Amino acid sequence: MAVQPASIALVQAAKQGDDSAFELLLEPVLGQAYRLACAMLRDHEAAEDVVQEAAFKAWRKLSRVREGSDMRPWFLGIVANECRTVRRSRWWSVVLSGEPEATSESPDETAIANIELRRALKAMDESKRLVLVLHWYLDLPIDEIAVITGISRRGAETRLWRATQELKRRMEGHRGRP
Amino acid sequence: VEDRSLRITFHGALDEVVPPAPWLAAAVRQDLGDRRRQGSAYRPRYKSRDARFAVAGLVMVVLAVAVLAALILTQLYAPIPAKNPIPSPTPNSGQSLPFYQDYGLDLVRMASSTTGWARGGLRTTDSGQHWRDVSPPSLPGSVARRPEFYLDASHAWQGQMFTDHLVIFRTADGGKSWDQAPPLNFRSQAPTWGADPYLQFVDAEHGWLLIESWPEGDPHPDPKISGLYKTTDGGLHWTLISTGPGRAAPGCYFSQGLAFVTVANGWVAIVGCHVGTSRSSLMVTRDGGSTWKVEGVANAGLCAPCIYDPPTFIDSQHWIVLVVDAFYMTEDGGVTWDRRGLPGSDPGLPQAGLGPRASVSFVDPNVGWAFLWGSSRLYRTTDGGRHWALMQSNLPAQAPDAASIIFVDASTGFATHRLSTSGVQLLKTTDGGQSWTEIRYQLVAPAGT
Repeated sequence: MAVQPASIALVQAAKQGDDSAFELLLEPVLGQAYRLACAMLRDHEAAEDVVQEAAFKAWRKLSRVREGSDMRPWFLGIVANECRTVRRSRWWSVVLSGEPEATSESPDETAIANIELRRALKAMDESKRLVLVLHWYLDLPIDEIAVITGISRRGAETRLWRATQELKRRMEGHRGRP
Repeated sequence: VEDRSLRITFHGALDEVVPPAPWLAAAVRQDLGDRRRQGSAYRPRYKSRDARFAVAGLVMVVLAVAVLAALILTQLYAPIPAKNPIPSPTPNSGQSLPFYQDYGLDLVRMASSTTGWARGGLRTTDSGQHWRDVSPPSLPGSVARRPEFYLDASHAWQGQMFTDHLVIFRTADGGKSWDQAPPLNFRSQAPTWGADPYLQFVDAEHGWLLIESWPEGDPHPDPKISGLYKTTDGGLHWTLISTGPGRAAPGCYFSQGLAFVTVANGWVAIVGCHVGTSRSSLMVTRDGGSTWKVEGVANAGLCAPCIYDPPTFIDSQHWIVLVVDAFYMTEDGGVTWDRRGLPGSDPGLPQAGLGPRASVSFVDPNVGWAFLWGSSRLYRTTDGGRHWALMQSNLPAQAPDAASIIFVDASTGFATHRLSTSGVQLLKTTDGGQSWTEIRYQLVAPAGT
């Protein structure tokens, strides 16, 4: 879904303390934020917490938003940072979110491919997983990925390329296992 | 195609573990309201959950330390057992799976209204009712069935990748029998940890094989090791003729495909980027693939165009190259290119990631169709894409970039549409795209299985 730059009037109103204006700005990107957090944390309760925390931080940092700029990369950047913080402080989230094993009822190939992809993604480091999720799952353009990850466009391209190759390699590796 | 498949797999894999959260907006509103009211006294509910988990974690750590200490003490006072020999690594016993077992039906080429090929060696002779896997049997140890190329109803080539070499098979009778070429060792140039092969033939004898691989160790993509091979005997023997077109375009580090138009006159490959970058380039060689240069549409500047696939040839002079929201057509064999828009610039249409937003099929330089991903809309042009008319606004399209169209003549066309959960739907039109009927097709296993 294409997200339009934040309405100037809405941003102005939100900066002047109109909370409903801020919520109107935020609402269109909450779904993507939640999907990003779920994919990064593999724990939907934690993902909900992260989105709420990120929303609060966004509200506090609202003065930094330039009028007419795009809310999505700015807010998703906060969400990505919050995921990093949560992962570092919540060691137990890893314990809670083990990948469900393939059942013995010979799941179809799509189900196997899905499990392989999730396993491969889980094994990758966080920065690569982030660009993969942003590109392949949230379908974001490279410019926004660069803003969210805080690196240059070229850097984002290179990281995405490497991460994609590594993901494919890992998936092929998983496929070879009995 | 591979990118589309990966995107679809990504969406499928993660959608399974991301439950819908219709309450989220209300929860965020509530949470924000509470925090504003309570100020610094507010304590997020997950903080208290954290505390509970922290206590539980501490208990687990204490228990684990106790168990570990007991184990160490036991070992210290137990006799040392004889060491078992370290088992040798288990060889990869998994064989490569046909493409369609992973991704379903994906049309590659319809040679006529009745006979055609789909990815993975599937062939139909009854207008898509049955698709039989006519691939050669998997060789032991092969890790992937690629590359593949389907020239016409009879001639096809399919490769089987191994970790260090590639074996090409050729059929001249529609998959009834296959000839096996000697192994092509792509690691002989340098140690590599992976390879992307692209294969293309212009007739039953002359073909090119581009193998791009990258060095072992850090997967830095630049420079890549690449080799361009040529055959003049239908793929049974291959000769390395160049280190590949990528070397001619500084900054371009991998290819997206290979497309030769004729043996004698001008062949084209694409070198560019996996995602949209300013370095997308169209490369041309006019000496059989030995030397390459950037030409034509490539000089269009910053990510305009972003090229994702090699040109599609309508005839020897008319080719098209798709970019995100347009396509380029040459009418003089690649000397000059004309940008033409894709139809339907509705702002509400879903954004299809970074790739082209439509599947396009031309049957001659004037008549073509464009199916906009995610829009359910099929358009037709009769003037080479300068103007488009809406033909059909109700084609199924649940997901962006998950459908493709192939027309074999002005009236007969096929469309595949990937359903979110239940495979791929195949549609057919016999009136130029005005009406479509679903073909309830069957995938037929190889003979003898």
